Amino acid sequence: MNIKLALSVIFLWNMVSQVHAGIYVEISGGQSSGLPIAIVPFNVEGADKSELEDISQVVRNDLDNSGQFKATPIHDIRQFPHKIHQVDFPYWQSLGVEDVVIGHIQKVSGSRYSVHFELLDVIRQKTGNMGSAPLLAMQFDNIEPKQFRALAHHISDLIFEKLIGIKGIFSTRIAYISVLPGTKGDINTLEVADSDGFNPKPLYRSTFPLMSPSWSPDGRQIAFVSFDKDRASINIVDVITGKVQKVTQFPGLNQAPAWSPDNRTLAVVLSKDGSPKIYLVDLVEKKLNRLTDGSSIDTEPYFTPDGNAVVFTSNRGGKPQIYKVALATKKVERLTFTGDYNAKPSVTPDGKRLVMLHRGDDGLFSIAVQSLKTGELKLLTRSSLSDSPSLAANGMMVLFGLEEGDKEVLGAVSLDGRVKIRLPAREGNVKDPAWSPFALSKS
Amino acid sequence: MVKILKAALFVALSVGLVACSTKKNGGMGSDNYGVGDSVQFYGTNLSPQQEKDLLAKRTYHFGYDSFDVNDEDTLSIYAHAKRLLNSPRSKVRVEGHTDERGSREYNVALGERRAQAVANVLMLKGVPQEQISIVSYGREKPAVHGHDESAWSQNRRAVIVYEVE
Repeated sequence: MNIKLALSVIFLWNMVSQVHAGIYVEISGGQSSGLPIAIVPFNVEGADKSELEDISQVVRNDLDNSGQFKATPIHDIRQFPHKIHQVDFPYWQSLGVEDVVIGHIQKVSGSRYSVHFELLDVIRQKTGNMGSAPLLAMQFDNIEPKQFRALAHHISDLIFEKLIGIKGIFSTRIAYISVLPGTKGDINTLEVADSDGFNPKPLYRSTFPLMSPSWSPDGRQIAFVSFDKDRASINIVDVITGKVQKVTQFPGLNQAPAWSPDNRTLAVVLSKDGSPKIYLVDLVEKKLNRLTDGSSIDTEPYFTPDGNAVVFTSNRGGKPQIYKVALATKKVERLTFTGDYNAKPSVTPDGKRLVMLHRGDDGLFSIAVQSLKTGELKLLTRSSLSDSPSLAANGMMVLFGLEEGDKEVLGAVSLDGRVKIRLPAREGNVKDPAWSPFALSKS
Repeated sequence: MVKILKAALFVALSVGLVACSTKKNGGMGSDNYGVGDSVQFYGTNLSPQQEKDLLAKRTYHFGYDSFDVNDEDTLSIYAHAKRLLNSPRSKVRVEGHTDERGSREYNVALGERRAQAVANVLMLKGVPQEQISIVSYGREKPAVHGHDESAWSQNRRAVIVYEVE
């Protein structure tokens, strides 16, 4: 019931913003639990509400899509307080919510607004004394309407962190490859967008395939693979200026770039010396060092969060499995033992879990998470063909590619499996996603 | 049977190559070993038309998880080797492809193994490396769209593309 209502709200939201968005968000698997929260529509003073981005709605969608919250559908809300003394706590308690968000937007001058919001704990504030302070109360001044969405995501991040205790990812961005049919074949575009699919911005376009976008840890650059003129190369594009520099274009493979946490080294895969091997490119000193040896395929490097090792896919044991190589010793250790196809690894920020592509006994490719301590494996997706898992900065969600019939869409799933989201393209296909880090420089 | 045929072809081609290089050293024209000249290259079994057909074939399919060139494809790849040897300015790009299943980047590596297998046959016949480039698209450029074995088997392939005819 609640999910259905939430869906219709999201649909409406999509209709309104259809012009801007390259991809959109849709809940595809229900969150049955989650912290119940109500986000009251913000009061607007001195301006026409309908002409402004609805901050409360963006917050509601953010929290709902996170899987950690169950936001009261707007249709179920009958009271609209915007100041703490107007809040009838027993009413909110009767709705079963634990927290309420209220807000107020005021036009100050010209195109400048101030935005105020408060996060209230229903139980504590009802039973406690009237003087008990809100969990959060913040004011933002000098805000332009075009900044409303970004501010809304920021508010979602603040609420998320306050109530869940982990940093929110609503202000992060995603990169992906969009494929549109053109008159002379497909048009491939490396695009970045807000994590909810809004504000898409093209960064690099080609009639040849594009692959493997990877964000630099400072969020300023994206490394990716292009095949311009049928030659593979690894490139870095500046997210703000769009300036592109070529990093490697050796004969053979140039693929799968991945950044070290200190932003200085790019792990890449080259086959210039024979088999596909992992190399480290020192971006400051422009030096190339080979990290792995042998005649096997080694690919899909990913730095561990401490920066001391690289996990990668290798068929050195016959079938693709995940291995780890220590940078200091070059000692290699196998990490996966369940199933005969594990690939495209990434490690959660706490270093405790491995997220990867796993082929099950049924032959289907799923996104899976494995405890590095116990080796226990859990499948997060069980439908059709999935690929290219990419972890969110807080390690709570995974973005991935999903084939649905002849359509390629993006999906996201929480690591606890509680929420599943689809992010289809409005037109054409989207694939090969990469979730940005926290540290972002917004354009 | 096929093995014997292959061995015979190899010998025949080697003879052709020796002849070719001798001729090169002598500074003579290279037309003697063109498409129509079936006798010295293949023995007496192939007509000019048959050789033309072999050159028309440029896509070679592979089994699942396999990088072995199929026996029935070697003859066609030999024909391309001969053509490249006879026209040293020609350049080919060998493209490797996989089906849609599995990890994108791992598939690029698998696709390269297929392209490399075909390139190896060319080089084994003496085609200089400078005339061959390799690119693997993995699963990114399927020949056929579809999610069944018939589509997959058509997509597991290596393709010879002439960049300079």
